[in-house]
Amino acid sequence: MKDSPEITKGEKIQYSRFKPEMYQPSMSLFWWTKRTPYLWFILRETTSLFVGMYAILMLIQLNALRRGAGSWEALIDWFQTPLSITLHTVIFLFVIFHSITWFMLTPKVIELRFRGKKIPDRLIIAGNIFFWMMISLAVILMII
Amino acid sequence: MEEKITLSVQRYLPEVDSKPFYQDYEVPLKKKWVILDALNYIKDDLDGTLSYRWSCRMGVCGSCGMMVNDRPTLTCESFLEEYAPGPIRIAPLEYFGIIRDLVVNTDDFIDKLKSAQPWLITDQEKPLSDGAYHQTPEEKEIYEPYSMCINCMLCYSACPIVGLEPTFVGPAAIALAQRYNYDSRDEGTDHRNEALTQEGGIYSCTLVGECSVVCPKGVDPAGAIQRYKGTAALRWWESVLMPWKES
Repeated sequence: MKDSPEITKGEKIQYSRFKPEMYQPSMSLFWWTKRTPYLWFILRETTSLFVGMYAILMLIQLNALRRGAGSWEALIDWFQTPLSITLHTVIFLFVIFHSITWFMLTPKVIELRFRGKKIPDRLIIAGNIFFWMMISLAVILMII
Repeated sequence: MEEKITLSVQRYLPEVDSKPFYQDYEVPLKKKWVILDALNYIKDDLDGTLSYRWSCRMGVCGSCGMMVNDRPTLTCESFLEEYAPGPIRIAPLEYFGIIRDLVVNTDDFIDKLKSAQPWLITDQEKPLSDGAYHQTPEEKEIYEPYSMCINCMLCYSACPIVGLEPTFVGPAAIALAQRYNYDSRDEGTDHRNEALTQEGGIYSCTLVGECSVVCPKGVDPAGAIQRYKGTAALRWWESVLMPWKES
């Protein structure tokens, strides 16, 4: 064991606030690697970029529609290339991850009571995911 | 032979060094000892110069919060055995200024707490002759979980936003503001609204959620903050759509 440093005794001490000096620790740029929950948080937030990418894809589609049939056909052809399929798969997986983690947080915002009793968190998450599935199903049926 | 465990304690002695350093102490690994007992053993038997805060030893006063293996922890509630075979790394609460060893500066926290006005506010005080303020068990149940806060500041050390944005009012202060906002006897929501919605208020929170995980009293500051975001949004819409209505 290391000896603790000697403290000078017998000196007349004048007390003043935080004398001699308070140490202010600095925060590392990589603070989010320190604990697993932080890493999950950063992953959750970063995957929102993929939600944005879907929005951009939608705009590209709308633009092709506006330009006419030729443009639209060309876009559909591009959608069938391996690059586009890979891109869509990656975006899809991240958007699913983002959506599920987002729904997991809903009980933090929604606090519902039934006959004075708080509805359990899991039920709120399940309810939200159920509505999400139903709406997705309705959209799929509309397209088919 | 008695089993031992090593405590690697962060020290900061401003008269010796301008930076903190780690010092190892070997303490008996006793079944009934919590980390705070081990620190008291160091202070009494090994090194009297070690400084740290503690008081009640039973998870009520909220003084002995420290970083134990990088996690904000109440040291009076954490048994040495849980960390065997060790070593256990002990540091002061994260993001706070360090005064000495494990003692942090709480001034900023106290100021933020005050800004949230966590006390009962009524427009007009009732005369004593009117009797007590009544409250049903259901009304009490709504705010009760938030009233469990012991101001131990673990949630501040669990929240990276506290470190990144020094103006952030922080989890405990907002949870305590909500504790009074939810109280049927209180009429102070308007008074607290400014501190909660200005820069450094609820919108600084990005919902990392760790404040609620580390809370030793099961308070849910993350939930309190998100729910006030909903309340604040409704209040804003109300002020836009019904400007004649006094907020």
